[in-house]
Amino acid sequence: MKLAKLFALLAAVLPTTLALSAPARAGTITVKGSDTMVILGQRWAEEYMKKNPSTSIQVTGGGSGTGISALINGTTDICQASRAMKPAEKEKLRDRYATTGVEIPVAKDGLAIYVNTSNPLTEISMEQLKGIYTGKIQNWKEIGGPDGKITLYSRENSSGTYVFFKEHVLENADFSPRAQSMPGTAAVVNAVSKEKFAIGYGGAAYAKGIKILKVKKDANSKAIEPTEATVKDNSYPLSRPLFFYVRNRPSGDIKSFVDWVLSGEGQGLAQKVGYYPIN
Amino acid sequence: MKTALTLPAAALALSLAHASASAQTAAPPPPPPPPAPAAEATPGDVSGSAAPAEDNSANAAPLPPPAPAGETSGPTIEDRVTTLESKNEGFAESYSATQAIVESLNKLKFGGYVQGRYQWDDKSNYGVDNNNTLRELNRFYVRRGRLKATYAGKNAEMVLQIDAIDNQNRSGGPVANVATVKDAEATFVDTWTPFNLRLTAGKFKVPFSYDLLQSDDLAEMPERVSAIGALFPGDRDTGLRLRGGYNLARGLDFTVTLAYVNGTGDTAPENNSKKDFFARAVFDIDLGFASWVVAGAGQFGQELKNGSSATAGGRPATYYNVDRRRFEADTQLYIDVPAIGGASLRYEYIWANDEPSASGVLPADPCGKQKSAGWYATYVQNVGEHLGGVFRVDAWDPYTSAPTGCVVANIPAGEPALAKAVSNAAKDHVTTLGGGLLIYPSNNFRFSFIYEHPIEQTAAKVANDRFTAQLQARF
Repeated sequence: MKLAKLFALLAAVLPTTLALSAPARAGTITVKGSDTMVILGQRWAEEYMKKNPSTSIQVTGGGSGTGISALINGTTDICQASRAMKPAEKEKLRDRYATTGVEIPVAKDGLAIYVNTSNPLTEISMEQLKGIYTGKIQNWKEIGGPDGKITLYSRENSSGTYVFFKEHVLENADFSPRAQSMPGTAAVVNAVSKEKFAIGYGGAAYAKGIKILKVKKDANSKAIEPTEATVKDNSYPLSRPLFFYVRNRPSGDIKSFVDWVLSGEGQGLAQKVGYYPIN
Repeated sequence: MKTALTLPAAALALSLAHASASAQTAAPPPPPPPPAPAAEATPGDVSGSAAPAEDNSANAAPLPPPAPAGETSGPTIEDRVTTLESKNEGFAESYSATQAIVESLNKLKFGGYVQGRYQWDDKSNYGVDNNNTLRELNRFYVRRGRLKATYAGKNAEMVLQIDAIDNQNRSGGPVANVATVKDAEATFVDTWTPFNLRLTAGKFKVPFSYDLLQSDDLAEMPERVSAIGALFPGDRDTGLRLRGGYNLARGLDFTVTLAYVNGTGDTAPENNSKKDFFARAVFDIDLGFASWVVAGAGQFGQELKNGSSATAGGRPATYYNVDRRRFEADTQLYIDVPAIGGASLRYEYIWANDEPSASGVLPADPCGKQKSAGWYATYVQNVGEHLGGVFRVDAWDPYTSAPTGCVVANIPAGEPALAKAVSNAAKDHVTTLGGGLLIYPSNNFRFSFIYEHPIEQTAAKVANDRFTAQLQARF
C-alpha cells in the first residue's frame, strides 16, 4: 500500500476527528450531583463568579448517584456527593479514564432528623431510628411520644443522603415499604412541616419550619445535637463529609475554583449556608 | 285571609334578610379610576414649555356603579386557597402515580454500541491473484452491533445482550449466520450478608483473564490477545456463576468469582457429562496516588475430543477426554499523570496445559498433549479527556514444546491442522506489536486507528500486518 496510503488516510481523517474532540469552551465549569449540596454549590458558584467574571459555573442537583454517573459519562466536570463513591463506580471511572477519580472533602454536614414542631420528643436513639425506618416501630407512643402512627419520609435511592442513612442508620437493612420517597431535602422538610406525626431526614442546613431531634448512639449515651462542634469532632452520630469528585487532578479553572472553595472564604460561606468547614 | 297575613310577613322577612346580608357581605365600593396623566409638550409646541396639565376631570371615566348589596364581587381568599389546596392534592396524587411508574422503569436500562471498521490486512483470506501473490485484503465491516437490556431489582437482576451483526459482516467470510445471544443472565442478589453475593445462571463471560473480561466497547485494541483468542474463542460459556466481595481494609477490596460451566464455549453444545470449573480472585488496592489490581484465575475441566480414525500408534478413533488446566496472573496499575491524564499499565501471563486421558482400553493419545503460554503488556495513556494512545506487546506460543511421544506420521490424514501444528511446535511463537491513536469526541463516540505487526518465530516472514480504523458509537 502500503504505509504511504496509510499515512494519507490518517492525514485525511485526523484533522476532522481532532477538531471534533476539541475541549469544551474554556472558562465553563459544570457541577452536578448531591441535592444536599446544591444550595451550597450554587452559593459557592455565585460568589466565585463575582470574583472571577470570566468563569461560568453551572450547578445542578439530581442526587449524588446522578452526579457520579455524570462524572463517569463525562457530562460534568465536578460531581458533588454526600457519600463516598462505591467500588463499582470507581471501577467504571477507571475503565474509561484510567483513573479512579480524585476525592476532595469540601465541607461537613450533620444529617438531621426532622419532626414536626408539634412533636413533643426532643431526642431519639440510633436503634429507635432504625426501628422506625425499617417498620418495626410504627407509633410514636412506642418510644415515648404521642399516640400517632408515624409517617415516614425518605429520599430516592439516587440520593447520597439515602445511601448514607441506609448504611449508617439502617445498617443496610431495607427501608419500610411505608417510607415515601421525596425528590429532595426541601420536599422532605415541607412534608414533615405539614404532618403532625411525620419524620424525615436530611441536611441540617435545610431545617427550617421543623424541629430537629438530638441523636444518641445508644440508649445509654448522651443525646447530641448537630452543631459545628459536634459535627466537626464527629461526636454527633450522623456526621458526614461532603465531597467534590473530579476525574483527574484538578488543573486550570477547576483547580482555581476548588482552591477557592477550600480557602477561608469558601469555607466561611459554607458556614453561612448552614454547613461546617472541613478543617 | 292567609295571603293577606303572610305577605307583610314575607316582605318583612325579606327586608330583614337583605339587611342582614348587606351587613355581612356588603361589598366595598370599587376604587375610583386612576387620574389621567398630565399632557406632555408636543413637538409643535412653540411656547417652550410643557402645556399645563389638562383638567380632565370633566372627561374622566365615570365611576362604576356600586355592587348591589348582598352580592360578592368574586371568589374569596378562602375559596381560592381551598381551590389551590385541592389542585395541590390532585398534583400530589398524580405525582405519586407517576413516581411509581418512573421508579419501576428506572430499574430497566438499555444500552448498546456499534463498531464500524475499515481494515487493511496484508494477508489475504481469499487466496492468490493471477501472479500467485497473496491478495491484499481491505474491507469495511461491522465488528459488533450490541444491544443490551439490564433489569436491576431489589434481589434480582437480569441481563440480555445480543450481537445483531451476522457472521458474514463480523468476519467478512462467506457464511452468514444469524445474530447471536452474547449474554443471558438471571441473577439473584444477596442483600443480607456483607459479601454482596450474586448467583447467576445463564450465559456469561468466563471469569478468566483481565483481557477477556474487559468490556468489548472499552477495549482499546481491535481484538483480544492471541492467547485468549486461541484458548477461549467466543469468551463465553453457559452455567452457574457465584460472585462475592468484601472490603478487607480501607482501600483494599477483595472479590472472588466461581463458575461451573459446560466447558464447550460460546456456541458448541455440551457433549459430555464433564463440567469446567473456574475460579478468579482479585485484590483491588487504593494506593491514594494510584490504583493497583492484582488477580489470578484458574480453569479445571475436561473436553471431549473426537479422533478421526485409529492409527497404528494407538490413537483412538472415538471420543476421548482431554484434561484442561489453564492459569493466569494479571495486574493493572492506574495512575493519574499530572498535567497529562490517566495512564494504565497492564500485564498478564497465561499458561495452558491440555492432557489427553486414556479412553477405555486405549492409552492416552500423546499427540493430543498441548502446553501453551502467552503474555501481554499494554500501556494506555490518556491526554486530557479526548485523546489517548495505546501500545501493546502480545506474545503467544501455541506449543511451548513438541508433545512428547507424538509421532507426526501417526496423525491421520484427516487432521492436517494438528499435524501442521505439531510439526511447527518448535517455531510457532508469534509476538505482535500493536498500537495507535484513540480519539474521544464525546463519551459516546470513539475513533481508533491501530496498526499491528506480528513477528513470527519462523525464518520465513509472513506479510500479515494489519491496520484497523474504527468508529464506535454507544449509548
